[in-house]
Amino acid sequence: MQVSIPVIVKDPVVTNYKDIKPTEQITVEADVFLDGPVSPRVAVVDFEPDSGALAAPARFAAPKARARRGSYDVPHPVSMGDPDVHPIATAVSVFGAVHKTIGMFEEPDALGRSVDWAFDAPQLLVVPRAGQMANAYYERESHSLQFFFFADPTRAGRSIHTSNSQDIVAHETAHALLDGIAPDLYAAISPQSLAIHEAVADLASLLVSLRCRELTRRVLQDTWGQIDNSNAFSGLAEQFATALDPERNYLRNLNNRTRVQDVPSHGPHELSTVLSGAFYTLLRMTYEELRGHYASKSMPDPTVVAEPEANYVEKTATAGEPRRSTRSTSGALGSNEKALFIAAERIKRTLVRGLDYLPPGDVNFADLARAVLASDEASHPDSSTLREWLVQEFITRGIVAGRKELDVKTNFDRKSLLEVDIAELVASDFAAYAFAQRNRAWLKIPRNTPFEVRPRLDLTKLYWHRDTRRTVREVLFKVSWSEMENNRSGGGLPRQRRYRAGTTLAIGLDRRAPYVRALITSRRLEQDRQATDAMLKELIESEKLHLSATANSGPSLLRGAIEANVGSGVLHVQGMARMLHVTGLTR
Amino acid sequence: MSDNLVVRMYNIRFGDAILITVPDKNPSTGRTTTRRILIDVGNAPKVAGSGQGGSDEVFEGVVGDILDQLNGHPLDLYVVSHEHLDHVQGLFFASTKLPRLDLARRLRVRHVWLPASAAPDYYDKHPKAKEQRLAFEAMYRRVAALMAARPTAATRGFLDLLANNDPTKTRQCVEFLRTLSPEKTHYIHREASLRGKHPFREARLSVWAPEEDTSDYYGRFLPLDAGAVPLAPAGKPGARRIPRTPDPLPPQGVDAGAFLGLVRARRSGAIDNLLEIDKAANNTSIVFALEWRGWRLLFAGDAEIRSWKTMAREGVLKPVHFLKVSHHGSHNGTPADDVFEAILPAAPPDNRTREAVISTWEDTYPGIPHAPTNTRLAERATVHSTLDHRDDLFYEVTFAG
Repeated sequence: MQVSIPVIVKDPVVTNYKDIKPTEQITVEADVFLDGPVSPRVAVVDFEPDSGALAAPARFAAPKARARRGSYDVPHPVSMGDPDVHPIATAVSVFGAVHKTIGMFEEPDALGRSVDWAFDAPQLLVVPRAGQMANAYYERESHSLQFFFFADPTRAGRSIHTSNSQDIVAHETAHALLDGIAPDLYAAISPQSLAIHEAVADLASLLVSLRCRELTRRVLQDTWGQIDNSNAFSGLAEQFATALDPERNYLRNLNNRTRVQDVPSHGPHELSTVLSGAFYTLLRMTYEELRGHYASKSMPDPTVVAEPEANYVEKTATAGEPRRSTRSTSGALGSNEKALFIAAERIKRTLVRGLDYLPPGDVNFADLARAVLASDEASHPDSSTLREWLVQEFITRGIVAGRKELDVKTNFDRKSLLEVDIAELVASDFAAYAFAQRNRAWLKIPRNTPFEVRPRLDLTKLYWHRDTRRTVREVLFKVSWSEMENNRSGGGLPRQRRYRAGTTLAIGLDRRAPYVRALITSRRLEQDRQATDAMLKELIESEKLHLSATANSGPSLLRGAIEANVGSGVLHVQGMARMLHVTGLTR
Repeated sequence: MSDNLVVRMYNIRFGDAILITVPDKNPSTGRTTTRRILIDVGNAPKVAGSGQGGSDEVFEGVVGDILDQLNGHPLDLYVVSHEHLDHVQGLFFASTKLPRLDLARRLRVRHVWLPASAAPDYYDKHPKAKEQRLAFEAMYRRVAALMAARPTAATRGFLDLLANNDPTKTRQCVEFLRTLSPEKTHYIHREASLRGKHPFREARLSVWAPEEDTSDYYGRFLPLDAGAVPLAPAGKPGARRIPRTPDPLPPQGVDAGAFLGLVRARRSGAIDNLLEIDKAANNTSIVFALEWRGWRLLFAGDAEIRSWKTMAREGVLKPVHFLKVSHHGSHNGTPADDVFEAILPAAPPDNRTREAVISTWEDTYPGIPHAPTNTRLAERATVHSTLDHRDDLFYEVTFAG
């Protein structure tokens, strides 16, 4: 079943001054829709701020007669120039924006699969009016996205609702999705691991906003195609940021040149701009390359974007809402528009598929860079120019010292893969453990260390070759283990701590015999250890690290603290990703 | 007359009651006078089902012994470290519930020190602190109402903590303590002059904390499920009477377990906020050093990390030979690294002994006592704990003159 949903574009302030319609109409598809809105994967639960009771839900109107699409009744639709949004309009909009983000990650030319949430349940709960605070967050423990509101400094008695910002909704949804894709990041103790979470969430906001045709068209018109002349895309959460600081019209700007060494504090939010900035630069370079070609009606260099890939993006962007798609559409694409869409889709694919290749554990930017380059090579074997641009970005921004650090051996045969039944490896935990045990040294599992094999992912993705597109099956096999290192954070904490490490094995199944598409193991460096020391110290000093007296103190009743316990003299920190939002430590 | 300084640590269970006996020599006359300082007297308030740390039965023995020690002499200085019941309720209890001790007649106090923020006109002079204080009291009412309305949300330890922070009861105790020496009740902060505020001639007292403006000691609250218990208007502590909204039921199509988990999570900020309330008061603790014949003794009340960091920033921290471990030995009461090194350096500045005393009891507040903190202290000093003297009325630490 499909439902048509009005989603607030950017936020009510941006659409007003840009003079564009305040909502875009998107289509969401699911087996069932209920009042709320509720779908099998997303449920909006709106609590009245004054009473705590559940607010009246948005009523689902089933498709009439032969119509394919249903809708939700929005008695007071969002109106142009009115920053006040009725709670039902907000509930419907946030539902649509969450689905829009999910769709972008899961569609066939991205992950090509449905992401399992990191919590053991099928539904992500969304609270559009969670309480009064200038914040919004994803919280694994309560299976929820929580959007808060705060007093509008420019309008007495009125509030700014973070749930009315598509950027913020996409950002938090991306945290939930990434937690499903790479759950170890939630417990990682490295600032760069947390920064990956934040950068991916920021990039998701960017990419989701680029899918709004009217917004992109207006920005491209206003800037004569020079997207650097506007922060409409690169600047995030404008209404929210301006309310907190009138001098700032974005929360973070992705259009930056920040390098790792420019962030000595190792703050995850600041660090994240290094990574998001690298991908934004890639977007900009790809866009500039493509717009020149499309303006002159020449074909782009296939080593940048293959023709089948460009055709696919253009078709899906203009041909109505294909199955599972959540794009808003209308009419043919102009050359700049086309260039921007194709560039954005390419960046999306490169990033999101890289996340799937990410090894489990405490990973750093270099681990992600290796995963991104390896997965991109599989997805776009002939489009190497873009990877070269990325390599240069990773070096320039201090993510790696040189290109050798980015080398991953790809596409090679391995005898042990020929000896294993891939279907059994995917289906049977026993077979998976036996395989890991047999290949322990190859998978870099330390001796005498217990390990954990993650559920295998059997995926079918679209791959783009110079002349054609292919549907390719691959299996991702991930194994992780715990390691110890010295803890020099001080603060009275133990002198040793635990972190997780892991390996991803990507098995290609598009040849006669299974082969290794990539083998990537996390590489923890001395600078990662130092950064962890600094972050733990900061947590202690800000009194946000709650140290249980024993290793068996049970679940904490605290919501705003990072939990740590000490067992056998070793520190074990849990749920560190909560520091990104829940603790209110940083924004 | 003994020539030793004696710190008598009463076994008051989870709380502080400390009597210091100081031979104080007048440099002009050469005459030595035995002077006494009493710090606090209180323990965790007894609430329904609470642990043994909050027994009222101990007050009679403790207060009786203090009066016996005074033996008819006035108490030279009474220090109220901060406004929490586990530090202030003992003498009020003895005055109202233990008439046979005849406290009003037998306890005469020359000087009383209270934290600056306990002054009756304090919040008129410090509007920022007043704003925060009012916000904290409002949040206290909401947390109290929430815990009363939904007892399952509260564990025993947090009910104890809630009772300990009860502003109405604390105020009542502090009002009583002001009457101990109406003319010489002093409101103390780091920069306050101590001239005329104690009788010591030889021993030197110096105040390390709190700051006069306490606004820096207040943290931030998490948003509390506003609907669970509506906010009562300020000054109307009747939040318990507000009818509560029934628990919302899972809407159609929403996983019931997940929904109820979300409802619980939305209320769990109450515990965080209660700890913020607790910390703010702890950080107003009077932290003072007593220097006598080469010894330096530090009485830290319940100062937590924010207060210690301020002390470090203000450059007042010095190595000590005696530490009344802050906040009953909690992790937050004894910051590590720079602060710890400043007061108990790894390389002692002299060859005198170093002692640390922890006034604590098990099964009272979550996370206290805290074994890793005890271990850390034991690396630098001889550690004494009430728990080592659970059957004694007191134990003593002596410093030779």
